[in-house]
Amino acid sequence: MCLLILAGLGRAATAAVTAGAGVSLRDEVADAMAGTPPEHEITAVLLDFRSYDTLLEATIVLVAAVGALSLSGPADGIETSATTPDLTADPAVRGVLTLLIPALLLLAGWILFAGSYETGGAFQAAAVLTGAAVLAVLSGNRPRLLAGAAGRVLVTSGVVGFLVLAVVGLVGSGQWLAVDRPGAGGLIVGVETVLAIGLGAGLTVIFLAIGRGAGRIGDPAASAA
Amino acid sequence: MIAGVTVTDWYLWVGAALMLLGVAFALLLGDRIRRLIALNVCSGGTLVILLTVAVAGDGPDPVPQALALTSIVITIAMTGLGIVLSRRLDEREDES
Repeated sequence: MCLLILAGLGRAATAAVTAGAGVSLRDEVADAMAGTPPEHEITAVLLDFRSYDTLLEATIVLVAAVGALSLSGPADGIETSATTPDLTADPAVRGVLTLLIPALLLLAGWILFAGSYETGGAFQAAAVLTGAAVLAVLSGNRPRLLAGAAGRVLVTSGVVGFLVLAVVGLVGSGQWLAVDRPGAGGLIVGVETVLAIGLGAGLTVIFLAIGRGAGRIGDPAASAA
Repeated sequence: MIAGVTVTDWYLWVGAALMLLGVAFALLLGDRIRRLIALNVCSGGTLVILLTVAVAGDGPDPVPQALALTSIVITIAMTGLGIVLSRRLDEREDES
């Protein structure tokens, strides 16, 4: 039974690729590269040719973060668990964090700007930012940046920035999300930056919402508290 | 390698097999976390297919590669929200 389904799926995939062999979008993208600010094809696809796609992608992360927050109960839900040990007093941990966090932030920035001419971009930078935030939280720092109104601004900043780009395109070129004009390069880099920050904040909020009861694992006393 | 089967075909079959495994286990397993992991395996299958499609033509096609990135982000959001939901359900079950 499973083998039959697999045979069907494999044949369908092969047939789809064979049928679509003549409609590779590579040449279309190569032709359109002249009129778009990013020099790298994938970044151009994400932020110009298919920017609706990326806007909705950022919205998916925002919706997931809002959902995770609303499921994590009162008090904003992004306080670290009371049972998370505070390791920041440990000189070794503090030393490693002092070295690693700035390095990770620098790496995230480099990946972000590298996206305009080679592999990289906002999503990859957001993943590194999230890593840095998770590292900081797990070693006992309280996620103050993400609490309250400031946190909400950070989490929504990616989608809001993208909507600003959409409206600027509408006002400037008469078309939503249009970026094909001089000076749009800076706009795209700006949107990528807020996108990375917003996505990083969103993913960190999801992580924190998961970990609300993280201290319960293997500790029956903690669940009673 | 079997005669007449190209590398592209091979990768498409692997992608289809991963998708099938993922969907089947997501439907069959009882444990919520295992089902989430099964859905992630399914997502891995779609990635294999998308990237195979991206390189199947004359050269790398950036559009399926961008779609693969979209797919990763959607999988992360789905997994994160799924884990939060499952943790809350576990807590509810522990209390009762």
